[in-house]
Amino acid sequence: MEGITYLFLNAMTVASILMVVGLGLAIIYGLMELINFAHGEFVTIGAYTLVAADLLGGSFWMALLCAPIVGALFGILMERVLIRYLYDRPLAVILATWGVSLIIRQGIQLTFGAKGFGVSDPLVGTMSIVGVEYPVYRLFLIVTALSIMATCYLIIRYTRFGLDVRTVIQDREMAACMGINTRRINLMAFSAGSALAAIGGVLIAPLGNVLPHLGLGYLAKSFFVVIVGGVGNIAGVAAGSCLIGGLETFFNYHIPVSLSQALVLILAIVIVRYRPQGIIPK
Amino acid sequence: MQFKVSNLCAGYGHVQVLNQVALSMDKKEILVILGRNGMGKTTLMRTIMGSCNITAGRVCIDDQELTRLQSFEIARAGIAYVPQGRRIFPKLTVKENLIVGTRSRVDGKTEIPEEVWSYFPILHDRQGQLGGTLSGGQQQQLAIARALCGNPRILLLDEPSEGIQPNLVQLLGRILLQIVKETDLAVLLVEQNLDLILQTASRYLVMEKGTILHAGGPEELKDEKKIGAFLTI
Ligand SMILES: Nc1ncnc2c1ncn2[C@@H]1O[C@H](COP(=O)(O)OP(=O)(O)O)[C@@H](O)[C@H]1O
Ligand SMILES: [Mg+2]
Repeated sequence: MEGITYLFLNAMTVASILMVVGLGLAIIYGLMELINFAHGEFVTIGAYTLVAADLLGGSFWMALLCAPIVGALFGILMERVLIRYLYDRPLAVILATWGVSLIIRQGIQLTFGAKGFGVSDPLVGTMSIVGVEYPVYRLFLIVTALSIMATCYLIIRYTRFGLDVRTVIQDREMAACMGINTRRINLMAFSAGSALAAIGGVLIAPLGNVLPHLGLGYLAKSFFVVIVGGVGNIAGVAAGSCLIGGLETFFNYHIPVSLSQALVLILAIVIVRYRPQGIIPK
Repeated sequence: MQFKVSNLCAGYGHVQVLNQVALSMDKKEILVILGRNGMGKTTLMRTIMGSCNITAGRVCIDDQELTRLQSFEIARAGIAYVPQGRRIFPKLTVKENLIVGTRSRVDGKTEIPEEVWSYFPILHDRQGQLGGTLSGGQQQQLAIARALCGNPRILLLDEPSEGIQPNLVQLLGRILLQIVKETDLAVLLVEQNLDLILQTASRYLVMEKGTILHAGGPEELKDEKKIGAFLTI
């Protein structure tokens, strides 16, 4: 029984990160129908914001506040100087964002070096929950991720910006004819998506080594989260990340990591084959 | 207020559809554009709204030049658009659809004007319902109401009678006449329904292959056969 509880909590940890990073990708993909191949690098940027804070004597909490701002600024920069010229050329976007991902990764390596950084646990100790002792930081991570999801849901559902986003997603041309500045919505969504990835980066950094290619694995995983869950809704992202995170944790427990990742990928493909709209369709 | 389109040439990518289109409208006018399918009527409306490529010509309201502005700026200048096929936002509630309609207001207000509810009482009853669950006729009313929420000076209406019941077409005609009577709105109406044309039109233009070929006023509009001929030839 205890084993299952641990497994569940571990799965929740993985799913939480995927949720935050995947939501960022989903917002960008849902709104602009483009895939940001540098999305994983925004996770890395977030993690290195924490590394930088650590090196400069700042705290984890400061990094957690700064990372979304840093991520959003990089996102704005990327949209302004590159993406906005390519909206009607999806293939060019793939190549260009792939290029940006290489530049960011190399840039980070040049600045911080290729060796990994270990970041100290901001919350040490364990806490007893549903009958097991579990690291406090991981619980914090889960709660934070869920709060971020809830906040995003409330923003999309109840604010003016949220209504504009939902309108543009449904019919971009008509949204513009209603007086909505769709290009501004694009920019805001792109920076929000990047900020979410960066928050994800700060959150995972204390769990392991921070390396320049940290974000690489998150691109593919968050992409699968989005298409398995269903493009265009927050519930889909949540469902997708629970599924992918859950499967990965479960497989990791029994078989080697690379094999388990391959299995998750195959299962994702099978699911999309039978439910092309995702688990929770739009 | 005068709305003026002059010498307009436009199309999609490199394909030119509109060729030297010219028209002008004063307030309170309902100007009907006649023409068979594929002649460029929808393209004209989309071009006015900034969705197509303009290669020559101008679109103005009084001295304000709208040519080559972005769609959202054109909407904020006072042109509202009810597209062919309605294109309401199906996943937004009726009320949200109408709030989105207020985005073009320059005063930044998001309240739905009282008149809009009074023209279309059915929408008031259904304001919490998703737009996509309305019947075709109700969706058409929603599309028109949504356009009116921005307090426009010019209303572009593309085949509003398409796919809705005759009694509702008549109701739409009555509402249009009431609106231009109570406000200074000018309406550019693309329509194939003879009854609605005869009920509402102040003048008409005939469009053929992307260009305006004929024009007529109240006198010609009395000749039902002549107007009908423009719709079928
Ligand atoms: N999105 C588009 N891309 C390219 N050509 C189009 C597009 N929409 C319409 N056309 C072409 O423009 C011409 C005029 O079409 P349209 O303006 O829809 O006519 P109407 O509204 O009078 O029926 C047609 O020949 C049509 O094939
Ligand atoms: Mg048409």
